[in-house]
Amino acid sequence: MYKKTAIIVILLSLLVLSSFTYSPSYKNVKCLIQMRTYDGEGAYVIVSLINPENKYEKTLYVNGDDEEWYVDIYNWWSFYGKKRTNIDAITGATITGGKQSVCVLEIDENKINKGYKIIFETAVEDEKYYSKDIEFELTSENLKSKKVGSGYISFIRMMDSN
Amino acid sequence: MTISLWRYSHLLLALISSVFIIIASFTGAIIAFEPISEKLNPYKIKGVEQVYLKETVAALKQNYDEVIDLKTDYNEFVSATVITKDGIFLSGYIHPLTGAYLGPEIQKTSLFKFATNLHRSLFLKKTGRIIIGVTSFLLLIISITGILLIIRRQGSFKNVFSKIVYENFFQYFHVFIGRFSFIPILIITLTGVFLSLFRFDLFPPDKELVQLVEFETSDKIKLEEFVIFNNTKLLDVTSLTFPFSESVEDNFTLLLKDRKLLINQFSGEILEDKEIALSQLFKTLSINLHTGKGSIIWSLILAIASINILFFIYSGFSMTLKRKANKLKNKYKADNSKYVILVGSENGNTLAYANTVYNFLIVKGETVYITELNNYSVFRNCEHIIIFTSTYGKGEAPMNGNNFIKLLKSVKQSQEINYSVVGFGSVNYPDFCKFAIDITKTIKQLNLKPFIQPLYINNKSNTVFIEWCRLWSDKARVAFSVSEYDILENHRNI
Repeated sequence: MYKKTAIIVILLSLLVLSSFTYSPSYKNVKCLIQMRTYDGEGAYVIVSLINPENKYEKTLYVNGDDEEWYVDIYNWWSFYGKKRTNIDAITGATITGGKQSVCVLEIDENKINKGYKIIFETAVEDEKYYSKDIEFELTSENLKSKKVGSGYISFIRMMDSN
Repeated sequence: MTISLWRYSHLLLALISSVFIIIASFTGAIIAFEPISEKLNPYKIKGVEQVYLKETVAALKQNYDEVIDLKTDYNEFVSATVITKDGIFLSGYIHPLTGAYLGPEIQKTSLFKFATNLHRSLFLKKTGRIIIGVTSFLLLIISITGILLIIRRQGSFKNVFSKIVYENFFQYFHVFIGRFSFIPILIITLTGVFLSLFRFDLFPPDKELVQLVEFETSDKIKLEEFVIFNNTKLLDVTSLTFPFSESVEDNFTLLLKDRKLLINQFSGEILEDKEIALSQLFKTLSINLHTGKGSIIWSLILAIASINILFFIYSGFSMTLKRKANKLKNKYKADNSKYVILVGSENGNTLAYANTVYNFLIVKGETVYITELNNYSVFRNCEHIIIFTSTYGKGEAPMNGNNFIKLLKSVKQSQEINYSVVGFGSVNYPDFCKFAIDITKTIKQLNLKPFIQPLYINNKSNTVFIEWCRLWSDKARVAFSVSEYDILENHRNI
């Protein structure tokens, strides 16, 4: 009898405790990437979440599905290459010069306005690599704005979708 | 001369590129099954041919919070990128009428991924792609020289598909399969070369549509009323990208098979209409032909053609090695020999018969010299010349005898020599033993003495050859008797 009660008490307390633990709530941010006009192959565009310690925290989107070239995106590869998490669901095709592409970034609402950053790294096969084609603070304001790129990206536009 | 030039280029190119061709055709045979496995997925909806773009757009708009884009592929599967009403980001196949989510987009399995990478670039990135492009070009040349050799062998272009004379397994099937896989291999290699050229931007790139900024707000009508959505069949659409926001500068981008349209998101008005560059259509065609995308039958043909290429390499090289091994070995010097055997052989078959006679004479303790027809010269101590020759193509000399008739006329022997001619051929060819007959005609006019009747053997008849050996050796007083087994042994040693 005591045993049963003990188990129930433990389970209940776990349940209560768990509700205090961190639970992410995600929001979808639509992001339109407009490439600069340039000749040559499509660019790999990789969107990552950077934590306040300036470390990679999460890969948000990968444009480019030929893994052979991932190594060339040096900074990101040093993060992703070690763990190789499954990114199939957030992988699209490379984006060619002059073209547009829309992707959806899943952003943890608890991390907005907390000193996190988002960076866009770009690279073209056998061409230049931009470690910070675009970089901005993860703030609610920025997630509704337009940012100008410094490499292959001409600009990006973002919009909360819900 | 031309035959040997073609054969040498056919062989030399094959030698240089064989390693890469082996890799490419082996991986090619594997990845040919990818489109087949894709097509077996249940995402194709019955009646999709009848669906209009309007219906799918309406279904998506109704079922999802946000639609980012909509695509159809070569398998006639319809996919979309959407955000669900629960705020979940989804990308995958959908039902074109109900908008229901059917499953995630097919991911390449790791085997196909590995094989594709190896096939495309040997894991060497750009360098690898160049190597593969060049290899593809070489294989193209190899198949063209190959078909020229077949035409030559069969006598004429219209005889390409007539009966092939069976000399040995590799020779027969190299030619037999070569005739059938020529067209598929030609297509594979040509498209392979094109794809490499596209990869290195050697074709002009497609110009982008300029996103127009339309400032006046047009009348709003429902999406279902857009004329273009009502008039366009879903399967004619490559992709439809929905406007990024409700801002008037954001439009629908509709990519059809041959055109690209910008559509005002409120009025449905076509803002810009541009034809897709021919080079782009050509690229799509090349990709589909090269990969077999969307067609199970063509994928199977590609797989078979790839396996055939592997067989060509194997059979081709073994034929070559056989030819190389045909180097004649002599115990005695030409000038010391009483008997001189002259051989005209293309694939080594005739040589086997000549060797049979050579070996018997050696066993009998006679001095014999065996050489190719083209090495005909003055033989100082020669009493007997025996000529064994086949005929190549349309009554022409085999490669090692193409100069013989000329030599025969110009070389003057000092002593009287007996000659015997044995021709090998097939009545299946229109010019049966023509070259041997030509030799007989020429040799008659010279100061050589006929020893026994010239003999023309059909389809390597061993019985006829054995009978000839008996007649000849009796008359020459070196009596030996040849058996089927002896001939077989000599064939095996070649």
